[in-house]
Amino acid sequence: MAIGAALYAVFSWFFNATVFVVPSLSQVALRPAVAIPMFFGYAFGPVVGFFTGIVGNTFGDAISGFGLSPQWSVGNGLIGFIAGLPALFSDRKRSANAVLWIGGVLTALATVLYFMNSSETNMMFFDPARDVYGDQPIALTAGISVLIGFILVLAVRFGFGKNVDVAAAVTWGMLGNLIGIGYAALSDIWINGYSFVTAIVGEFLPAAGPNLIFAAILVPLLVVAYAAVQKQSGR
Amino acid sequence: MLIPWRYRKRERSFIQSFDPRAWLIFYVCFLFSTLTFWDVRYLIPFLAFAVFTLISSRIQWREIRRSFLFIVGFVFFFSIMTFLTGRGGVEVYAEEHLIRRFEASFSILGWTPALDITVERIFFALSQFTRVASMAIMTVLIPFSLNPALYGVTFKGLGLNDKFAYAMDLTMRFIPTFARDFQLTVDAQRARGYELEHFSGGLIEQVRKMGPIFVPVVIHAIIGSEDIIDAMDLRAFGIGPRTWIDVLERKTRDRILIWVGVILLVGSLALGFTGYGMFWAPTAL
Repeated sequence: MAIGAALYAVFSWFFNATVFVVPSLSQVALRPAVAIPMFFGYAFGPVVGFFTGIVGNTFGDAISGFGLSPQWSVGNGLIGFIAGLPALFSDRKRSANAVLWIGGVLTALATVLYFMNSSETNMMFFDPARDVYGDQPIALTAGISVLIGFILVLAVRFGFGKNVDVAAAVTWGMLGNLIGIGYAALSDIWINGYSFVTAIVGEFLPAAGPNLIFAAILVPLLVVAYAAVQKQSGR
Repeated sequence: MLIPWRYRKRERSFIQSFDPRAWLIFYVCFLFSTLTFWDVRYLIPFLAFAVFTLISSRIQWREIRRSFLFIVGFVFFFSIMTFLTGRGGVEVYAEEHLIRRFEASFSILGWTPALDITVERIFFALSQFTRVASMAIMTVLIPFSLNPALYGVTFKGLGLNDKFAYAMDLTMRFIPTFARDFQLTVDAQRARGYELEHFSGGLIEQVRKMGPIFVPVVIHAIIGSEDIIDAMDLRAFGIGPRTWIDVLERKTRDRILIWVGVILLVGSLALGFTGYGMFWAPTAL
């Protein structure tokens, strides 16, 4: 638990524009650290995943000096928690397929909402060097990033069809991301007074989309590397 | 590379004069109490208290400037956006009373840009700013004021079991170690020609290139954890209740603070449920 949370905090700190400024591509800010709660949730169970997400995000915010965002920390906890749920299913392949369907429906709904409200501002995109503080209309890339991420997850699911571990880790990580970030964005309706459309199009899409891309690329790398370590150590 | 913990012990700081457990309980009560209201008249005392806590916290402006300007600036900007577009408030108020309408002298495809200044928009933006700024100020103070070394014992004192409280303590201790490992890994990869600052390629290619940093750091941390697990097993961790080196004492002032927080929350919820504190705009305007 502590290791996952500490790693998540350190990666968040390094990549939250404090040490390394990772470039954004057409408003899609890169936050690779989110792969940590997904991986720890999948490898060590939902409780560890939840702790990694919630405590890691809290400590990461604390050392970044941006204060705390309790609802986003809980959202990150949910990512890890849901990523750890495949341990409860005896047939991982079937559960992963069911999760893909749920993820597909959520992705389609969010993307349709984006096309209906494409003039919304991207609340998650900040570029102080260019005087941008979450006030630019959401770019097409950011708006469809959830769709791109979902397609990548789909590709990994069927590309690694025989490796159930990778397929399950990625698909459950995807669901965790959609629900966790969805929870955090929707809670801002109550906390910050955002409208439903602002919460989904302005917050959820630009945050959840890039996370899905990380789920699809970094989580398989970690799962494969961890499997090799387990094989070597015999534990 | 050193991790810059924001916490410093500050003499005569109001927030630091309380037990961290008492402050966290009060903070949660304050947060939920603020969320109960949309009426700016009810919210102003919350903002006033948050500003008082900020000023009396003895945090230097240069320490907090970056985060403060970022968060309050964002809240201010968002309130202005809400005011200009009228979005967000439409769920709270049904009709608007126009004060003045500014209309552009040109049209785009038959649409003339216009800005309606209404009483409801002004007061909704004010309420939104007051509400979110109160919560943001109280929240931003926590990392600067609560000692990370006490996080474990604080959460143990709040009812978390030993396992979770100790995990919080360990998290705090591991952060500098993993930051050093991360830096070593980055340096080692740089020596092999890896350039983290100059990522090229498309989005997917950029993400893929983070693998040589991510995988070694994470796997090294997991392998290293075996020693910690063995050490904890040898010390019979989890068999009986733990003791802590740091002991927190709850004084009378801490109990008062907790009671103030609880009364504030219960009072706010009672007002909210009875219909007080909903969105308000002066009818005289």
